[in-house]
Amino acid sequence: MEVLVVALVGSILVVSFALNAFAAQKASFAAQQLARQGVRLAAQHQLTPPRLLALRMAAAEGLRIAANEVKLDLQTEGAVGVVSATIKGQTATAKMYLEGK
Amino acid sequence: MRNRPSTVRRLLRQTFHNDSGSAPLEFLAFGLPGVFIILIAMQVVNSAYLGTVAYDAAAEAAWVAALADGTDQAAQDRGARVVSALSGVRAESISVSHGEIAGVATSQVTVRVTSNILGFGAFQVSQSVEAVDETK
Repeated sequence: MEVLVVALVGSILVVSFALNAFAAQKASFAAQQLARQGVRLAAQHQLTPPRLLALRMAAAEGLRIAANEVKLDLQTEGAVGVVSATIKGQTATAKMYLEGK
Repeated sequence: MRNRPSTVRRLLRQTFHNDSGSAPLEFLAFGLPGVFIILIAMQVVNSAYLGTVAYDAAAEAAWVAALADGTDQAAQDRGARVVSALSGVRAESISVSHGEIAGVATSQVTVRVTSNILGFGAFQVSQSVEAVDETK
């Protein structure tokens, strides 16, 4: 009986930890992807408000979360565009020279 | 501290007034279900891992498909390369489609992967990722 209880409790713990870890990794991949895409569009001066919204919605759809859980922030440091994307606590930053600056 | 008799041993004692041979029975009654539970847990974890692999491949492929000079073929090749970098994981299909989100053109890539470890290759795990197209 004890073996069964240990196997059951141990498995539940391992599975819940693994699912959390993989979800965090997926969010991290999505944040990297979003930051890369955002900064490329920004570098080409194509990061318009509709595109920004579409980027957030696309990332949210892929992870099956609400669009307001996806944050995308664009800043410029001289001729360099810096885009930070945050999804479920995972943040990624991408930088690229802005064309024509 | 006194050892408590196990459940199987107790049942055998109550029924037959003899608990000899209880160890194999106990293994069958609790050991095998225990192993089965652990195997199911491993399958669940493995399917979550495959989901992450498929997501990564789909994200890379969608990124390529959305580039100003990106093509569907290049996207499929990139997705296949990401999956093939891992031994034991096979890409069953990588499909690219195009659509719109809020009036903005997008490319969507769906990657289906299998692994011999997951139900001896009987199950497929698929993930779709959409990327906003650059002006082509």
